[in-house]
Amino acid sequence: MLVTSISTLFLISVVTSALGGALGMASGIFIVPVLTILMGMDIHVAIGASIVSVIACSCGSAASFLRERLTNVRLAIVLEIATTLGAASGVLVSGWIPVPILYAIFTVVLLVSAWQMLQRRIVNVLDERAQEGWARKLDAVYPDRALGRDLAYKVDRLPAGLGLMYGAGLLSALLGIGSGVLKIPAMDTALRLPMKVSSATSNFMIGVTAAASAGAYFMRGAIVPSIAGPVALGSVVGALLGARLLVFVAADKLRIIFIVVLLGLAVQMGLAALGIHVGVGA
Amino acid sequence: MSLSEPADELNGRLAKLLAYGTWLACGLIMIGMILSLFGWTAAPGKPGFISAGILLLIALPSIRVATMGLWFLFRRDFEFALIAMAVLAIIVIATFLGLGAA
Repeated sequence: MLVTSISTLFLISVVTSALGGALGMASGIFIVPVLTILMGMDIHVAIGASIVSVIACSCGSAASFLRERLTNVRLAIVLEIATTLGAASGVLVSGWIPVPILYAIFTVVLLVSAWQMLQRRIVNVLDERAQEGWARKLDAVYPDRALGRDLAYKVDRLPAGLGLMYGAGLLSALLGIGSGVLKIPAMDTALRLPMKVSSATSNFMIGVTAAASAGAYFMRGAIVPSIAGPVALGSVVGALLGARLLVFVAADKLRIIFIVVLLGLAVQMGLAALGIHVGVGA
Repeated sequence: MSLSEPADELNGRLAKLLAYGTWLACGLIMIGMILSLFGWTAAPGKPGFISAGILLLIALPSIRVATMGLWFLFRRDFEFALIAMAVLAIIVIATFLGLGAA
């Protein structure tokens, strides 16, 4: 029984993560709905497993971004103050939030993610007029492939970015997700970073943010090794496969599949919030 | 002298740390999973390979923050060393909050 569930969990996690990875999205957003709805798992155990896999995916993919000099590590460590504080707050309130409310918040996050998938990311024009101040210590350069040279960029509106990052950390701890839903708009819209810098830096920060709540959930006993282990390993393997899959499937087709899956999961999670379980294992 | 050179060195070190750390953790989890396929699991309450892998994954980001803190400290960049220390402190506090709210 235990053996089958370990290999099943591993395979489910591989498929889930490959789908997410193919669109450059963290798989965390799929893992909790799949574990709760498909496998009928307790949502807190699912969140515990998901948060570990979020760390694994962030750390596993960080190296290549770092070597390509796309990650702004100084900006990351400053924003991590806000994300870890958010995660700590999430840990504090998570014990008090009723399960139906958790399902409802998750539904909203899935819907917002689907909506974001429909939009194009904002392409920022490098702004040379950013004001003087402490934030200038965070400015950096990144290699621009199209131009074939290094481009300097400035970090804009740091306080707004920090505020959104606190929210991202809170959401990450509550739902066991990487919360790209809030991080990407924060980095694109508030800080006005170049898109690749924003993706790489956000990915880098996700591990630290998730670690803040994962430690707490481990202490609380919500991280079950026989569940979290195969899910984490499966999501790393899936993320590697997903990056290859991207070459074979047209991005626009994948985007549509992705939106349909997100909406389907949103309906299921919404029903679960209302106490109606239509899933297989419920 | 280029300003970006020491920063590249930090990026390289962090890349190595995170890559090796993830592979080691995944390796431990995989060994634990293979052993469990043969019905060989850790006794209840005793740490097995899977738990060790998970603990390493949870600790890895903190090791990364500590590495950054030390790197800034050695370069007398005290402001950023302090920021790294603060992040580390928040992670530790958050971890123990898990006990309180259990």
